[in-house]
Amino acid sequence: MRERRVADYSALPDYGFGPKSPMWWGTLGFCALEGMGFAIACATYLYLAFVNPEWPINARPPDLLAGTLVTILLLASVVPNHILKAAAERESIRAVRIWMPVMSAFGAAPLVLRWFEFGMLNIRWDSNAYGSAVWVLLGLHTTHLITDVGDTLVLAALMWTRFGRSGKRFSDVSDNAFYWDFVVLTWLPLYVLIYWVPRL
Amino acid sequence: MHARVPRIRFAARAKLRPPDPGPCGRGNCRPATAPLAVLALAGCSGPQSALDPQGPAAERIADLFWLFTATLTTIWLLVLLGLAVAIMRARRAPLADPLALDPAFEARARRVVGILVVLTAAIVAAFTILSYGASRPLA
Amino acid sequence: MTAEAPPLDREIRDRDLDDAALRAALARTWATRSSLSGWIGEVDHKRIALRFVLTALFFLLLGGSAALVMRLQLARPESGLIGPDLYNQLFSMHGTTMMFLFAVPVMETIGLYFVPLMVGARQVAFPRLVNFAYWMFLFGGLMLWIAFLLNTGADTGWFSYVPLSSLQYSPTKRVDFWAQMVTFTEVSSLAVAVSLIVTVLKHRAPGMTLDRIPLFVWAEFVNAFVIMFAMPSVMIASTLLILDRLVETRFFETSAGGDALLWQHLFWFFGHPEVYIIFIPGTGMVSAIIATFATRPVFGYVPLVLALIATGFLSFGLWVHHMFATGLPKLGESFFTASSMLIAVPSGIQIFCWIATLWGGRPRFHTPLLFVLGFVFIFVAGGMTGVMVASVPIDLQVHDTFFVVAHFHYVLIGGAVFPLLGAIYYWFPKVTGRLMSERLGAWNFGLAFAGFNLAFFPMHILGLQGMPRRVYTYPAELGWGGLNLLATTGALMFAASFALLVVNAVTSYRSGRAAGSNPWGAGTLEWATASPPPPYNFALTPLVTSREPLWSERTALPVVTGLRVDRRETFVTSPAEARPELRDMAVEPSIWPFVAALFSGLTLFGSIYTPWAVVAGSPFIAAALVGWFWPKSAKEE
Ligand code: HEM
Repeated sequence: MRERRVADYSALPDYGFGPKSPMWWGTLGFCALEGMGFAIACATYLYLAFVNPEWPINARPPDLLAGTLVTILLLASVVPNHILKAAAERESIRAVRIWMPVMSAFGAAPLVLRWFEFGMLNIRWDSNAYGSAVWVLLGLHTTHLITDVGDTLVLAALMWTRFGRSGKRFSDVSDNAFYWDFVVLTWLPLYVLIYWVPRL
Repeated sequence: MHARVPRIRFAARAKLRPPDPGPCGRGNCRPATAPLAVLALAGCSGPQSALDPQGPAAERIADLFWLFTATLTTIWLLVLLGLAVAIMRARRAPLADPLALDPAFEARARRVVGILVVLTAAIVAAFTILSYGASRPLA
Repeated sequence: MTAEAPPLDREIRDRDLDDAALRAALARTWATRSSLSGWIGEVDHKRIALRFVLTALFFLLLGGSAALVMRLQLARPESGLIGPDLYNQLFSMHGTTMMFLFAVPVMETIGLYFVPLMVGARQVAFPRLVNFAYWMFLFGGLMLWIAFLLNTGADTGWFSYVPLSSLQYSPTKRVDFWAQMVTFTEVSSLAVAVSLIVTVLKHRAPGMTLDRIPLFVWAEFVNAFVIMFAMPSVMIASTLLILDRLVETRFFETSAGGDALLWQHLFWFFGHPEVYIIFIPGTGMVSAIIATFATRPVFGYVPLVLALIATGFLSFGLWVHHMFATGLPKLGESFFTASSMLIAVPSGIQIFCWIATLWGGRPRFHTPLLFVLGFVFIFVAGGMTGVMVASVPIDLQVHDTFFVVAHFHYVLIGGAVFPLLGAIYYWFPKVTGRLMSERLGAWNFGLAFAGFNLAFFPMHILGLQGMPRRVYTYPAELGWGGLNLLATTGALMFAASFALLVVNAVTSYRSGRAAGSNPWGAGTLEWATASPPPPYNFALTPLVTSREPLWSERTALPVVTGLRVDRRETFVTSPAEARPELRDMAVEPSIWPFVAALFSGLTLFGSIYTPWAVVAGSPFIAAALVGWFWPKSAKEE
């Protein structure tokens, strides 16, 4: 088919932040499907709680300490996370090099606490359906944390290589920060389900 | 809540009955369903058959079944008829401009499709209510 | 392609080149190296999609063979061809293969081939993810079938209800292979879905506003959302099942507070949308074919789009109708009856609009249109029996009989396979550059249509006569022999129609008539480029001014310039208005997605035997992912 050239877009930038970038939409897509996975897992927990007259089944509710500390840490991490996001969008390599390690630490600390959380559930996964449900909820979120921390670490390392200064990389950092918000957000309903529903 | 599974089919299996004279012996076999009914005739009786009700509850369901079958077969045939007519009535002239549409036809088609959609909604609403009614005594 | 391509060591823009030089430069930049690493690291959406489709058709062959063996066994009463254990494996392998390894992937990845072409894009979003998805799909499917050959085939049906599938009643590894295969294929479908969604949102050609998106693209787009919200449910379900079997969690164990119906809820929350995942793309194919062969735009574009979206939403409100026989609360039953009936409305809208299109058009009866006519006949019949089984009292009569088997083959084969066959005839010339034989095509259609109805119509009656599904044989006194023989004959005819398809495809591929870029005189953008399309799809990105650009711009297609040709650049546009926003870099081929899929596959396979496989495999997967995302050269920036 013959063509006729009617416009030229040479002046367009070759990277962008937020909804301009396909990667942002891809991240949103993964948030949606993982969020759906969490919603189904939560629904499973509630379904089991609903069909069982006794809940928790044969167990004390989990101890609050470790889980609550994780919650506080995660909520607190939102602040440096947004500082990092703003730094990336300003394309300031100095600030990004400071805040990436900070955010890596904020990701790793809850993982350490998480180890103790499993111990404080006061039930094993194979004792009964209640035990299985809390272990799986906590396990799912742990997987989520581990993958995002891994991602953050790799990206942090990249910021010290020759690939760090590119606009695309800043856009990646911004998307990573966006995803972290999602990791924090998914934890909140899980926290309520694991720690507070058994106390109702 | 898990114990309420009604086992109508077993009730229907209770005893054999000689085949009825008419197509399945039910008044609901409209002419449009006759070919189907003839084919189905073989299945009208038999210990496992759902078309051979042996009690009042099973009979109500069989009635519902035939009502659905008759109505739905009619609808299906009407759709196919519409398709056939569409193909036959459509113009045969080779390509002019595919985008040159006849406004009168478009307006008429909009009206007809609109009415058909409303009819569809009405039929499924009626079926929902009928099903609700037929399953009530089983609860 | 004799023109001299300019050297690639500096920034070159398309606007500075004439047509021949432009194509030469693009061919060099977008070519995949012909080496093993180029082959497994493929990022061209067309080649990956073609692999997907051919692999899915291969699984259709396997699943179809399983069906034929079943039909031969059932052809006469008390047949001793195969025993109950093999029959159990066969219907489970058949159902699982058809749903997870054939229908979902084939319908989704035809979109992977044509969505970018139809929206005027050079590439899909995240092609490496899509390549990863292909390998996951292949490994999962092969694993299931190799296990079957080793007498470890799935044998608990395509929905593997607990408690039958629990360790207590299925002590061998058969169920574990089934459950892990589900995880493989769902990861794959989800990855492709994300890619398609972002492609449609961000890679449409400038000017393709929401109301200019072709209906096929709308269908794949809506479908990708349904996948995104349905598949996580079955992944959670199969994971919980594996956990129950492997590390003794108690999700489905009633004696420990678990619940067997929980499985059914999780499965059908996915399983019903699954049916729509299979036929929503089918409706898109029908719309594309009808527009082209009625030679006019589809009547009722807006209602059709709304019907697609409504179907997508409603598909999530239906799952409980698979569970009417479990004894649900009455009010719940009525709600789900109502919502199941309601889905007839958007389906009705679609059928009426298509008929109106044909009525107001100038139909040309090429093979693709024949399959669409067959689709209407079969699919509407399946919809009618669907209305019947949505009624609780009727469902309780025919539940678990061959009536249901007949019903879902009418919807699945009518709603997906017939449009698919039409789509194959329709798009074959685009993919290969050659037309298929119309004469063989008509025979193919006739045989498929007659064979299908002969095979499956009698099953309605068998079901009403009380023949249960999933039985390996039946006593002669019940009088089911005649209709079963008829069904088997039909199945053989139906199978023969596929043999004709293969013959037609192979001979046409070798020596068919050359197609040119737009053999059918169609209106959408995939027909603007060469057949087969070059790796970069379009030398210059089209500027879209209407829904059928090739019909409204009859002299010359308006295009835009501004991309670099010394690296893989594409336009990124805004989601609603398709205003150009960025010149984005498309990625180069990479072997790491393959490596990641390989390690993920080994890990999932190992986890059938020990949970420690996950611990051992994770570092390898992580390493592969780092390799995947680590930039290799400044060119990729
Ligand atoms: C090649 C033509 C086909 C034939 C002859 C065929 C035949 C059969 C038969 C005989 C059964 C088992 C009946 C029983 O004993 O329960 C069956 C089950 C099934 N078929 Fe097909 N089929 C065909 C194509 C398809 C296609 C294309 C799909 C999906 C897209 C499909 C999906 C299913 C499913 C989901 C089941 C249920 C399996 C289960 O019970 O777990 N079939 N089919």
